[in-house]
Amino acid sequence: MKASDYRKQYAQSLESEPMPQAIRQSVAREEPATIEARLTTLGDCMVEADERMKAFNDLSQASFETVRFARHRSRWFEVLRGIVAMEPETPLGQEAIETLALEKDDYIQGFLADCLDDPDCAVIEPARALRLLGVDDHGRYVATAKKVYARTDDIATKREALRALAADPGSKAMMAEVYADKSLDPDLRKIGGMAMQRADPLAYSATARQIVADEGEDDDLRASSVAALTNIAAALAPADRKAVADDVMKAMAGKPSAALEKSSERLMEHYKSYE
Amino acid sequence: MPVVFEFPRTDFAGRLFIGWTPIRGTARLTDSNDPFERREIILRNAGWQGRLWFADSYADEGASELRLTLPGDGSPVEFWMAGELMMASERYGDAIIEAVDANDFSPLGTQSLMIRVRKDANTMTAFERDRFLSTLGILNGRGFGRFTEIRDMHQNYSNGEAHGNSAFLPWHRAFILDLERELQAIDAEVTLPYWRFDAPAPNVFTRDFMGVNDDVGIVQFNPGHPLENWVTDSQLGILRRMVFDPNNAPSGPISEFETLALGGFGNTYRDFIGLEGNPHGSAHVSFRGFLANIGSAARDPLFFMLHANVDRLWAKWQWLHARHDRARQAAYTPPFFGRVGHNLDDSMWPWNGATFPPRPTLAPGGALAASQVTDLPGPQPTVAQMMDYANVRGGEDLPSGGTLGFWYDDVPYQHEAEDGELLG
Repeated sequence: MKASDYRKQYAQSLESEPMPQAIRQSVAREEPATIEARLTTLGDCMVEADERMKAFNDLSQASFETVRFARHRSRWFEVLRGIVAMEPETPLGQEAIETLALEKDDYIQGFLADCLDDPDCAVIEPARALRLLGVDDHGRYVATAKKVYARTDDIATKREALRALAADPGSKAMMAEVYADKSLDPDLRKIGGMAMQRADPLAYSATARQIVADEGEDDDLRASSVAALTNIAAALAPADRKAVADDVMKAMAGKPSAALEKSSERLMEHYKSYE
Repeated sequence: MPVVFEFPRTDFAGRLFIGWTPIRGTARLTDSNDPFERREIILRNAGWQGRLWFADSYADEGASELRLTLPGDGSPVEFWMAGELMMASERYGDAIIEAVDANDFSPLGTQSLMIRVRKDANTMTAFERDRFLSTLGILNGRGFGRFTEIRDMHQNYSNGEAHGNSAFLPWHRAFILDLERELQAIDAEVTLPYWRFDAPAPNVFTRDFMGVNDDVGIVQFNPGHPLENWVTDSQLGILRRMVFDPNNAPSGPISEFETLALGGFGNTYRDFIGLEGNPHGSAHVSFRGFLANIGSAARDPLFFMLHANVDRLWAKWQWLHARHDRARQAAYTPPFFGRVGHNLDDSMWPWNGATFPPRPTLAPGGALAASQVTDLPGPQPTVAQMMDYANVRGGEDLPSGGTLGFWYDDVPYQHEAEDGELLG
């Protein structure tokens, strides 16, 4: 298509748009007075839930205009904390918890940790609470995560506890054990593997090779391990990469699942670039 | 073959990558014994996917064939060519220039190439998608290295450089270009796709592509997916929860047409920059998780596809209203409070390494990644260098190489003259 033809076509489409120019101009920016009014709406329990949720969404968007929003930021967090304190179970309360957790807000981290310590707390699912606590890379809630991992049988909760423990250097051996343990759920083992590939790629590659070569292993875990071995190739020595490639070739010679086959082809192609 | 092509810029392997901006090439005879011979040849497309247009002098449109007369003394004859809009390549070599004899159409020479442009993530082929994902997975590796540095450029501490002021768009143009060039250093055929947040994108939010979230908000992929083991710092996986139906567009972001009208009656950058709130901010908060927070947003690879679309919208606005010229007031606005980093001739953090106030105290990542297809914008880009990314103002005097090396599949090249008039 010629550029000039495309311009004509595009201009015609634009002209058929009904929205007046003036309205278009006004949709993008929230003025300070509007932001303050929306903060008031958001924090007012007497206002309809839908209206407050709309205010929440508008304010979340406005928070991306960081400089413009800077003067409102502390009040924004205050209002959200108030919502968590007064109505944590509501949809708005759940949104407030998540927003504050992403900010690594001390109040919300304490709130989530308290909830996890209390088996009767029904404000937030333990798996989700762990995930939100885990946003903090400093691993301040390692003890809580370990406790929950030990006491629960719920796979999703165990999985998120493991994920939260990735920030803890002291959990390295535990992650290696989880990844290698055939008796565990593959979802848990995958998390152990992810933590291990990051912390110790060489040790990871040794375990991953065994998993990939073992036809009795979970096929999805094998495919996942091959994907990780591809991505971490730069962290392996040439001899280790050759050993990995040999094991992957053997796996491909067996009866690989479609996922394992595709993942293995990708690995072989990428490893060729090191030759 | 008796006809040889030459181009001013190929990569280290001799491969030719082009986009919509016309480039100058030459063809010459190598087999003639008669210096007075004049051989008529035709240049035409012989590829199966990418298509080119040709012209005998600088132009921004041309024809699918071009007749040239090559002298027997081997002197090169100039021609111009570019990718034909909507006919970009999928992979290297699917676009081919063929020279044939004008009388009997016998083949005289070929040149393989790739018309490499950024594409809509929802409509790109599975081959393109898998290649992009594979490269992204390798770039992030085990969560250390170059991707980490790029990710760390977009943090709360760098807000003053990247957000809330005039260079919001130029800064992010450089930012995603940096990432794309790192991807291309791994696989030169990859480009950064864009996610159109104003249109349904059911092919993007699948386990094959950018994943779907579980109940906790962790993105799930198919086994063996290149991003399945995505790690950033101690974060295992991607925290992202969609708050819209993947079969529909999110309800918040305004449409492309509405965005292009943000510049108001004068189509000014001062007003257009309002897109930072909506659709940009609105697109971010169409999710919960990493993307909904500036400090963590770039941990999610979808961030770069979202921002490729923000950049595409700027590129489209520039094309629609002829706004590539730094000298035109409507094309850029001086920053509020004269903030350094946002004036046209300011170099941008972190690529300039500046760590003195009001810049942040650290500058992760070093220089902007180099490209094999252009020398621009150099290691320390300025705001102004981001404006004419496709060299629409350069014309004949600044042939190939005057671009930043990226194009969008639906943003054409049209030469922009001094007065903002278009050539075509």
